[in-house]
Amino acid sequence: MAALLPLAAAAVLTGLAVAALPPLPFAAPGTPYDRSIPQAAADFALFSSAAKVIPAGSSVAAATLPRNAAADVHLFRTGVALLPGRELVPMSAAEAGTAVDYLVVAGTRPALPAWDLVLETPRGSVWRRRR
Amino acid sequence: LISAGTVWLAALALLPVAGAIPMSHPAFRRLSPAGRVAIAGGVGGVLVATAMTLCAVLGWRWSLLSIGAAAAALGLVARICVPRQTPLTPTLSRRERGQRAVVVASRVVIACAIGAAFVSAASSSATSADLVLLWGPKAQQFAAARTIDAAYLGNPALEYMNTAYPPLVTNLYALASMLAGRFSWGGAMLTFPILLLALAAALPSALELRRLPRASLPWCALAVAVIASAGAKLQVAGNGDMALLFFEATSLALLLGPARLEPAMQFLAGLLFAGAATAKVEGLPFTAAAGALFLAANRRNIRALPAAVRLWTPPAFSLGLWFFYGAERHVFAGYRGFGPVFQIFWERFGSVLAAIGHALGDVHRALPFTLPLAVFLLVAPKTPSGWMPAGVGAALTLFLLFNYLHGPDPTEWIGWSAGRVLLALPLFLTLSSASRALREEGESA
Repeated sequence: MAALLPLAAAAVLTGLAVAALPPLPFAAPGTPYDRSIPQAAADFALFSSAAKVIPAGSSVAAATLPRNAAADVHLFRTGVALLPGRELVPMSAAEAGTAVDYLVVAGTRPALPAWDLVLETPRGSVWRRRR
Repeated sequence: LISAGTVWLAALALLPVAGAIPMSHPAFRRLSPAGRVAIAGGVGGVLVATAMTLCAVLGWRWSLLSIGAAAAALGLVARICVPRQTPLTPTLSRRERGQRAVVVASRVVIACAIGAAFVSAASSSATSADLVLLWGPKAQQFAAARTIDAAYLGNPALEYMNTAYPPLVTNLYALASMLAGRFSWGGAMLTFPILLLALAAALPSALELRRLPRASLPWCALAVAVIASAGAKLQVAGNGDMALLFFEATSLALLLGPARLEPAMQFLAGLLFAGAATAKVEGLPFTAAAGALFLAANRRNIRALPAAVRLWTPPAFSLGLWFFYGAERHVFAGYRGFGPVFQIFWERFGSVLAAIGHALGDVHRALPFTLPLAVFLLVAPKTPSGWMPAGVGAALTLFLLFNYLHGPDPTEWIGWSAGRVLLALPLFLTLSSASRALREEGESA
């Protein structure tokens, strides 16, 4: 009898775990956050694409449009994770947007006359400072 | 063609090889083969991660040679330190096979729970937000720098990465990244079901040694199901929570099992304590509470001082090395508090409890917490030793409450932390109940 109690509880909890799964078969996720944190998934995908066009050693700033300071912070942190070997500059820093080599913009495509568009995705765009 | 992610995971599969050095001691041959491999993986993780911290302290650049040599040296020291002894517990006989249906059903439930954890991790349903915020970036930076990068940790813009956070998980992720050539986000996510599988292999062995058939399996099924259901919902894939739970539950099971009075098993529990203490910050109060309650519960049968040395020397060395690194490089000085120790905001008590209740209620209506509690109330332990895990759970809960009442407004913090930190509680309650059931079952066998 004592053995049946934990077994029954385990069966109930396993049932809950199975019920919470995505329907099978599911498509392989494009990012680690596709089914857990969709907003983070979009930023993850943007920076994964940006990593292919931003060379190592470059300085990078990341901003949201329309501007949102809290979202900028999250974007910066995602950039730190996905752009290793580049110098990420927080948007709160004075040199962000003026002295960096690349700018990653999440959201609306901006008009940046002094920058060249190097990548555009559904989530945002990547710009290189014109020399 | 072998992908980088496969190599990344394969690198972690080498950890049992490192752990085999101390686990080759004859005292551990009474653990089941599957249990020995799983526990050797945990011990290997501790040895390799500590070796990497030691290399960083000594200024040695990480390479397979430097890490391998340091880990082998630590493994040999650990092997030498395993107390020589004759087993105190007689070799256990086989039980009657009357419970075969329960054993089979338990195995099916365990397999389904681990399968569910695997699918939730692989489908990205369970990924921790902290994986991209701190665990992953730290690991890939350390791998690129071939050491624990003090400049990176000291960067004020990266303070959100919790500079003083202990290094076991990031070190092991860094090692895998070095071998694979890059960090694997998918590999990190899959550590959740892999560690759950390791826990399922380790627990029956720690609780029963080689005795067959496994009377502990229904309890192991409950422990695994708690983590599979709540862990996926709480999104622990890729962060340090699953490693912490593995080290906590396995060490407690060893200290509950039939060989708990044997010095060698206490030392093995101490090695796993080192894993808990260096996996996450909560591992330190766990190690203190579990060791103290074990000594108190078994005070009539053991000599307290030698047992305390066996239990606490490994975590003191491993975590002490990390604190030494932080202080010597001027990166951090121990764990940071929130202000004066005795500054408690008692007026928050009601709102904190309500927020915790809300956070737990979001996890399958709190069933992963309340079902083990109900089972515990029905099968409460009868011995001081059996109460030990429940006592550790109570101590950790008080520690968490203290933190919530002590620091800045914790409302948001409770929302994303309470469920994960309290996940240890139903696990420990399950171990307490298991100890009574196994003791009664053993007496009747």
